[in-house]
Amino acid sequence: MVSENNYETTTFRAMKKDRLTDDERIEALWARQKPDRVPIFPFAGGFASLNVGYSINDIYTDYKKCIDAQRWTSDQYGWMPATMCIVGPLSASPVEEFGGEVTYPTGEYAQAPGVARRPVEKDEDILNLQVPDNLENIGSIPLTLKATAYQLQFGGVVVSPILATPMDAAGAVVGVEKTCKLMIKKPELVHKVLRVLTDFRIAHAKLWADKFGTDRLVPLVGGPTSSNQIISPKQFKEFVLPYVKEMHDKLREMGYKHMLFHACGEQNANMPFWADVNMGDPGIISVGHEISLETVAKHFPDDIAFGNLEPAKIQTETPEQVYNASKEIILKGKTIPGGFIFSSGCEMPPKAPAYNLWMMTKAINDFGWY
Amino acid sequence: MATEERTQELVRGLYDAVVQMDEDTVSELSKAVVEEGVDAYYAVMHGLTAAMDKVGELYSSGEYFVPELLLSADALYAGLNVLRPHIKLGRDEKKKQVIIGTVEGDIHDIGKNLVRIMFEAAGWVVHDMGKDVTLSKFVEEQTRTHSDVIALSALMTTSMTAMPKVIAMIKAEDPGVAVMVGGAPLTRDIAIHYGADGYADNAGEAVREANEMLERVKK
Repeated sequence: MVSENNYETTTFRAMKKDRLTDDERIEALWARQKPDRVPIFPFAGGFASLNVGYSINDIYTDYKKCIDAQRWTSDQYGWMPATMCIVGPLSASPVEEFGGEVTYPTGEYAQAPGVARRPVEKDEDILNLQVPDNLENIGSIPLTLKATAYQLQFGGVVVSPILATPMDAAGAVVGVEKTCKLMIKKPELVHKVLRVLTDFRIAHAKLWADKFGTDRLVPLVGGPTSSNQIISPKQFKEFVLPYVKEMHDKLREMGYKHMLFHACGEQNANMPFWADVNMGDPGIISVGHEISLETVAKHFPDDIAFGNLEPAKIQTETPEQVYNASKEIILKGKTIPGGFIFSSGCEMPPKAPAYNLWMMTKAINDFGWY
Repeated sequence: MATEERTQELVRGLYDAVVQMDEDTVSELSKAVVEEGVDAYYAVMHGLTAAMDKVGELYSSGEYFVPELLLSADALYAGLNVLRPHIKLGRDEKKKQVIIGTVEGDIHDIGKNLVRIMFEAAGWVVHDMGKDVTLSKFVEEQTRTHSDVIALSALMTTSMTAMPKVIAMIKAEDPGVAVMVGGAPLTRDIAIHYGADGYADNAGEAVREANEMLERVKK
């Protein structure tokens, strides 16, 4: 007997039977119809890798391990079949494509790739930046192309290519602090960088469209450098909005149907601007705990809300706290008119207790049915 | 020797120029402070430091963001570079010291750098260990410097797990030092759980928290 008040009394055998297949549930979301229950998205690269016995380094350097770890972990936890093409430099992209160097995580506490050497060291270097013309063969592109080809061998949602905003790319190529200073002192240089990096992102997306078609690909867009923990809404309007609008419009023209937009960090004041960006039909709007699901529904009434369990809580709180926090979000998410996918507000902590992630699934079983 | 009126004019000018991120004006006014015989220490404390306090407030309240804070800091350093050599030694109490760094495994240092700026602006001696700092290095630096505060930063949920370990290592070596933590995934509750003495939500609050934490730890 499943009790809604005491998770400890439930068992695996008490899981309710799905009324839709995985594919049918995803199709219902795309059609803006209520599925049988709320799906959980596996925003869990590092966790998945450790979960299946790989290292965190593997997820960024070995495309098969990256995709397999996510597939297997989703299957184990009953999450929606979805994989993210996170192999490669991720937030350090596109440093390698512009001649810089990336470090990949090693050691007990490392979680993500970083920049070892930036392509831009002096202001003048910005003037020499240009989109490489042999995109298919440079930097991490060959690796991520292989990963996407591998992703497409399996069912479910294929999140690829990973396209952080041009501003986030500038943070990697130029450095966040340098970019911030130039925004005030030499804004024309920042616009020059953003022009090149927007063109690069569009070319990146075009390569994927040409190679694989756009039917099954869901680009991941967004990033933390645009957050109001770094820049003001006014700076967002000048330096982020025009470039992401252009990028998204071009992606839609290429045929990409749905964007997975991740508003990383505190972006409440940016949300009215983001609402002006074409996220797809429908788009998926992923937010952290800093942004409420009500805010998502307000600004994106026709899109799918995604989130927003606080990652640190999954790692540090008790199973009961995670279960209760999940319950609260799920109950709220079910009321979102555009649809809802439950997940963490950013990457699930790689070192979170596995039982706490199971609590997220358990909460769906107990409260996630429509 | 400048008059009191001229002194206040220069100090107010320094204050305004730092808040307005005007590095060139800070340099010019700082040179005038030296040339006109104004007490350099007074100009630093009531002009530059007071201005960065204000900048910290503006940052905490969401009127300033990272770009403005960084440019105000550049203006601050332009002034300090001119005025520091003219501050008479031995005139004030022993300066407080802080060791600061992003813990092992974490390459994110923007938040750490902002906190460093605020400590430097407040007149602390700052030992900046950088990013991805091996845990034992914090202990070694404390043994070397006998600092009042150690400030640890982490942006990732994985690297934050290094914090309880390094705090235990530091406290084992020097139980009297106050340790504070900060970074996106941290909260005050987690800080307490990890054994830290203090927590700052943002750079604008870091120095105030450090001072309050020192009072708590001393009791």
